[in-house]
Amino acid sequence: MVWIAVTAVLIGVNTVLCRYLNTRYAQQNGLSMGTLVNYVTGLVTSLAVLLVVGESAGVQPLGALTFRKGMMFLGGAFGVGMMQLFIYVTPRLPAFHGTILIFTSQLGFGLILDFILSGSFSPGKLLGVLMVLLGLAHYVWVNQRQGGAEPPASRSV
Amino acid sequence: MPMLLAVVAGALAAISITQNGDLALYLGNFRSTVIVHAVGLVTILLWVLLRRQKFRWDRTTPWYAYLGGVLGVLTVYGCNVSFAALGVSVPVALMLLGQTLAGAAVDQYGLLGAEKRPFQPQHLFSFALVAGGIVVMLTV
Repeated sequence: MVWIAVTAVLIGVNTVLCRYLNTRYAQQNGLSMGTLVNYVTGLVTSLAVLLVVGESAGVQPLGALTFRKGMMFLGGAFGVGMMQLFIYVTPRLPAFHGTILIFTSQLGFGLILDFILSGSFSPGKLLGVLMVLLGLAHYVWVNQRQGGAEPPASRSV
Repeated sequence: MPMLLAVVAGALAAISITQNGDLALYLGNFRSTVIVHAVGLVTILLWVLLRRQKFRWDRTTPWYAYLGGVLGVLTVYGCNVSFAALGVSVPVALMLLGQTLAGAAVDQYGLLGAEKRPFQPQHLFSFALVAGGIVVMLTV
């Protein structure tokens, strides 16, 4: 479990790098072209990995189609929607409250989805999420007090 | 309105982790990552066509600016692996910790074109609280 947790932290670091590179591209070519190129290069890379490395896991039988099974094919579309919304809202939100709102929304909906998927509510997870939010809010608050920018987690693209 | 849309964006972030994670459980990580990007590409193409936006391509764009999508594959793959083991909220908390740590490093060393801002000792308390929260999420 530890290496998976480390992987998730590194994904966060990678996200910051991706945002910087996508923003850098969008500065010269516009946001639409930036998003398009992001998905074209992503598709080519993931296809190349699939062809070169190959998939060891087999395809599971899909069975009867349910709402959740239908929705799982739309993750890419939801990802684009999320990206476009972040691009739209980030410059329109107050830096501190906007950043905290985005953190709260992601973690809050994460908790709700965990509850729906597992069918049980975990008070420990709720307490942990509150601590994480307090820590993130403290980070942003200290940054703001010294006149710094909000953390890259809240920046667009 | 922007506040509401920010909440929706956060919701979409959490929901897409679940969707992509579900797809990976059925098809495998590599296959699902291809489908996620293919569906995303069709979506952005439809969006651009519906809005009748024009594409422009600046040939002086540096080569490294094309790597955002390449590295993004790692994000989708890593999210799928994390979702299968830890669900949704714990990976989200860990990723936010990673983003904030990266932000602190960017500020400290003035990386990625950012202005240099020295690390504040108070940030140690922030990171301790976030890390403590994640431990509580995993153990309590």
